[in-house]
Amino acid sequence: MISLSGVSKVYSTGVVEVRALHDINLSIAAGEFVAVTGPSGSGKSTLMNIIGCLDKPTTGKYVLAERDVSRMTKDELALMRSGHLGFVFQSFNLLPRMTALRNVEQPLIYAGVSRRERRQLATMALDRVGLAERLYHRPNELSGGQNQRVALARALVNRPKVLLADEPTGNLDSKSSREVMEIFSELNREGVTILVVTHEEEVAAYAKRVIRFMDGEIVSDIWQEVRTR
Amino acid sequence: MNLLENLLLALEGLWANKLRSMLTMLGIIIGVAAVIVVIALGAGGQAVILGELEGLGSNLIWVFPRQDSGHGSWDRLVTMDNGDIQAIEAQARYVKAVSPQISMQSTAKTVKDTKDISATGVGKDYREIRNVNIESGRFFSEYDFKEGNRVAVIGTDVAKSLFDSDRVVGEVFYLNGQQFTVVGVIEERKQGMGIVANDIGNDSVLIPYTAMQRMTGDYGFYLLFATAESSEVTLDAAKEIENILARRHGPNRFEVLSLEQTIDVVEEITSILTAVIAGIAGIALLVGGIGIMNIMLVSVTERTKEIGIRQAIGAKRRDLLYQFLIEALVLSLIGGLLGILVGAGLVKLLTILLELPSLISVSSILLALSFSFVVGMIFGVYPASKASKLDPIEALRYE
Ligand SMILES: Nc1ncnc2c1ncn2[C@@H]1O[C@H](COP(=O)(O)OP(=O)(O)OP(=O)(O)O)[C@@H](O)[C@H]1O
Ligand SMILES: [Mg+2]
Repeated sequence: MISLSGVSKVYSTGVVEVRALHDINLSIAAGEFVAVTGPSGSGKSTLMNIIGCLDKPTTGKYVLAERDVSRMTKDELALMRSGHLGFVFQSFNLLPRMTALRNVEQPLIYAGVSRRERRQLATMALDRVGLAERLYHRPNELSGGQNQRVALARALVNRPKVLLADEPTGNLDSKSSREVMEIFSELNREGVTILVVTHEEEVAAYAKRVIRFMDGEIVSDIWQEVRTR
Repeated sequence: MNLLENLLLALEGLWANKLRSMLTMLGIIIGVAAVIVVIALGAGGQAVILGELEGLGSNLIWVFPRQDSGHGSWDRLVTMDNGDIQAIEAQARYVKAVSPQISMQSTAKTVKDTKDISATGVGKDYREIRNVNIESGRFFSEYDFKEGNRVAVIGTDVAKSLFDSDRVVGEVFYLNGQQFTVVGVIEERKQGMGIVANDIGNDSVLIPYTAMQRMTGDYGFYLLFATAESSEVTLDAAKEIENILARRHGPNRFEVLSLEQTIDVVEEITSILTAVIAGIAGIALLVGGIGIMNIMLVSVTERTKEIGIRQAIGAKRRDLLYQFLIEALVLSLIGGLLGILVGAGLVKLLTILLELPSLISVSSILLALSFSFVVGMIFGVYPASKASKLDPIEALRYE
């Protein structure tokens, strides 16, 4: 599903060059649940951005769903995001003026889904994350955990093959964190490939594979026993 | 992409910043209102002037001596005479009717009152040429002209001030000491705006020109009116008169003007005026457009995060371009609509105050709307394209 070979990312700010990623070779099969850990500044977000088609590698090749992403135009990248990827952010990133339902409908607009079907799919997605009762609430009327679940519903409403979450539980208490991670596990059991960046042991424990970063390089790549609930 | 969704987004966005949206629209509102008002008043004013000109008599031609014909002072001007009238009547094919007009300052006197008036000596076709309607009594007969009878057709104001009775036909008065009999009263004219001076009115005293000539002993006159057979041949008729007079008095001694030409000039002047003021209104629209661009740029910056989120969930460049362009268009079109309402209200008010007929034309409304559309388009494109070109990661990181 995901294959990076010799991927590097260099940020050059004036005279200083920062190597955020250094010669990464990584391949993730469909249906995997991967946790990415590592100290701050080690390049985790940079990796997620590249895998998420928000950014392009400086050198190297990235193939997603059998398509070479490293050569794509901006609009082609947008199409990849729309068709294959779902994002969950640490700070939810919901549109503040809109109800939960309309927030979840947004990706479907860009995917060209009809109005009526949008409503249906968005309602189902919100039901899926346990927010069937909160369709018409705005983000400021919902708790942090609920907002992150709205964001999750928005990420999964397009039926993406890959879900990318950059510290999704960073702003949540442990109970909300568990609720969110349970949903990730469930989606993974249904076949969705999941990548989660996290600092927390409990969160990483949900993943079957843990990749550890240090200074832009992979320092360990371990398969682990998934914790039973 | 989804037009309806974008319209909704735009309206929500504008509604969320009501005051700001309103202030932004102000430039467009003023510009459009100005266009509507100027065009409506221009058309109304033109209609008034043309109406008054038409009131002078249809297909009217008038002839007077040229002052620049090398003869110098006024009293050495060439005058026309009765022979000219006969020549024109006999020879001009396109001229339907012709009449001299001779004015004389005089005193009208009855037992009731003495009044300074301007008496006017006129020909037998004068009534037809100048649309003189007789309210009671009659106009002059062939016989009156032949004999130079001392008879008069007077306006209603004169009738009121000289006589007590309502029935003034048959009454007598003294004009410069000569006794005249009233044979007819001119129908009362309601006063127009008075932009065009009409010399026939409620204070007129008309007498046969032959009577006038006999009184003064002066057989020349300075003003001659004629009517063409139809509006199409007005210029031909004017040419004929010019030629006949040239043959009798020498070339270029007289100015021959027609109402057609005058109307053309008036139309030209009012349309130039309208264009100039509309141009100034256009500048207001331009300023309004710059306001829209400014606020859209602010909006794009404020919503950088939103743009990043939208990019992450699959928005293409075109999607964002449309979203912000439609927002700018909604802003300018709502401004345009409000401008039309304000403009129409102002026109209504002004027409009541100035007693003008107003003509808010559909075309001026369409013009205003398409103008605001174009303004929104031109000044919305740059901010929208800026929004569409943002880098998704930087946009997402924006706080
Ligand atoms: N736009 C940028 N310009 C310059 N340097 C950048 C940019 N983005 C990231 N970097 C640098 O790249 C390195 C990796 O950053 P990255 O955000 O991937 O780290 P991270 O592992 O996600 O850290 P954290 O756990 O704190 O989120 C850092 O040294 C960072 O300073
Ligand atoms: Mg990070």
